[in-house]
Amino acid sequence: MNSENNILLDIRKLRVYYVMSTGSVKAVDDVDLTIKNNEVVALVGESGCGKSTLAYSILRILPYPGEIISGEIIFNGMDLTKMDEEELRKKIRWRNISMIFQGAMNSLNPVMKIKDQLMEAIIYHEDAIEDVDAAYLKAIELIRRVGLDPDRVLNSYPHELSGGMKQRVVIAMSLLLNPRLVIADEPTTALDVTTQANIIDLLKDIQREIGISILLITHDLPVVAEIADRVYVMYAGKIVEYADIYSIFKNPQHPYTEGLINSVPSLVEGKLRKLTIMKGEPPDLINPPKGCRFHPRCPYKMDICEKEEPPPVKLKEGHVANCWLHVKR
Amino acid sequence: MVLGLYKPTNGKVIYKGKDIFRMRRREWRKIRHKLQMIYQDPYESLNPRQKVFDIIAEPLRLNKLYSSKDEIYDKVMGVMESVKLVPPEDFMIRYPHELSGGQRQRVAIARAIVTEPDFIVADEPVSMLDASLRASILDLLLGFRDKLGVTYLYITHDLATARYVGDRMAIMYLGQIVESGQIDELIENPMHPYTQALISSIPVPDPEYTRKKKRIKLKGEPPTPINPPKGCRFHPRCPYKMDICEKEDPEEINVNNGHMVKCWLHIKK
Repeated sequence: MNSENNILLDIRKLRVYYVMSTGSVKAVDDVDLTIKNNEVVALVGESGCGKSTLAYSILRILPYPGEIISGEIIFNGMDLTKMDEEELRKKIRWRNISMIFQGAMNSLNPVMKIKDQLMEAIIYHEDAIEDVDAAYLKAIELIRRVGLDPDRVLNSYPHELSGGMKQRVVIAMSLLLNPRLVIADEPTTALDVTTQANIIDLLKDIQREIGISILLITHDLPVVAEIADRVYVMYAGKIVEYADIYSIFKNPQHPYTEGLINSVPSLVEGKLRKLTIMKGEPPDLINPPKGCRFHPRCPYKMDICEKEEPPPVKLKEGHVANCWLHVKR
Repeated sequence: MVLGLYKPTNGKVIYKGKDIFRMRRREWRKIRHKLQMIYQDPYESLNPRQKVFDIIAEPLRLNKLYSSKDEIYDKVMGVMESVKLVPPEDFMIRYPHELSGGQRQRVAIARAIVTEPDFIVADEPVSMLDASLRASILDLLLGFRDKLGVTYLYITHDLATARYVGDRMAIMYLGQIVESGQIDELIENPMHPYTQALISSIPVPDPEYTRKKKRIKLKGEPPTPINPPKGCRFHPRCPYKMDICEKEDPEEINVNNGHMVKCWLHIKK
């Protein structure tokens, strides 16, 4: 199969701004990103870097005053930025692209039984389903697939379930209509360590078994190391580096990626790895720094970094970093 | 509880030889400022209607530690500088909503440190912060240990961070300490099945390593502490469960030089 045909989602030169009277927040600024069939892509960055905004733009559920300014989001040959609401709802949302929202605790309706919440999604998309009873059986099977007991869970309200159980329900819900892409926004934060590990394993198994693509949005690099095939690193609204998982961790080429990997205490075989401290804080996106947006925090800053934005530099097939250090002059 | 915010059903908390729950009110008020707390969520732990200066000065005023306004001013400014909220003149007039998460947590640390405490309970102080900011906050806390001799009780579920900041560690499961000892010893040689599972599930940012290693999987989730399981509280999830574990609660034993573990596997019968 040639790689062109294998692409499921292709984001080209996307700009998403929050337009306000005090200025526009340039949350996503000229971003390219592709996801292939059957691939787990991680989008990594800190809070406020625009990664959730990017996810919301794919489903076109941007909160006000967010707006897609320019660019294309091609899914299966269709440009999602040009689709009307009706078409999006009928063809895209949940049926082709579903989402696991951040904070399982908050994304379930507290006054509805789990059973009814699952059925709501099925009934809402009834035209896609020949047999509602069969859909219900499928919901039961999915609940079982995510490691829960249907008798215990289906008749419960969300508050009767633990955080880990709720996260499993949300995962089952995202799979109801056999989507081809699941966007998972911080699916493991707010869970404790052992539950976190179980949820990662579950996602990994399901992805392999039913062959979906996952866009994993997180700031948690260890989680990325466990599950992703490729990684995009986002900083202040821009993609600063992308590569396959091994290159990103073994051979990061952008100073921000390097800093991110080394600034979290981590244990390998019980030994503590060296920790480096990144100075400063992420910038405000109304007036992002000129030139390279990372320059005020960069340990290798040069004169040109303050003036001009670095171009993407291809280091090898599939590994690109936007950094002046790699531009030969 | 350690800070006297809740009353215990049973047992004592002894600070410098005295049970804090049997002190007279006046005596307690006198030492109260020596015990401080840093909370997990800097978005909830600061009063949104107070300026940074007043947030940090409040413990000094409440405890009447200084008599003059000038002294309070100098102290607050000094502390703001030591937590790197610089220039302090700039930050003192801001409200919490004008600060980032990292800056808020620095205010919370300043508020804890301003009364010159001996002991600080830090409850997950970096878990809500972004990755790139965590290391600098941890180093700030460690700096106060070295410079001011502060003792910390650091509460976390992140074992890698615990190892970075801690000297000793206690592992808690369902209301009981199941294992404790020097951190290095505990991480390299965990003896309780729960500790072993915890350590094996530490996420590691190294794709080659993490995809090869075998993780100890625990069944189920922690049960409710209203009706904890009989015998060893961990037995319903333990991969090494024996008959006795369901019946009797194991004693805590010293396995090696202060390395304590509470598990039937290590008790010779």
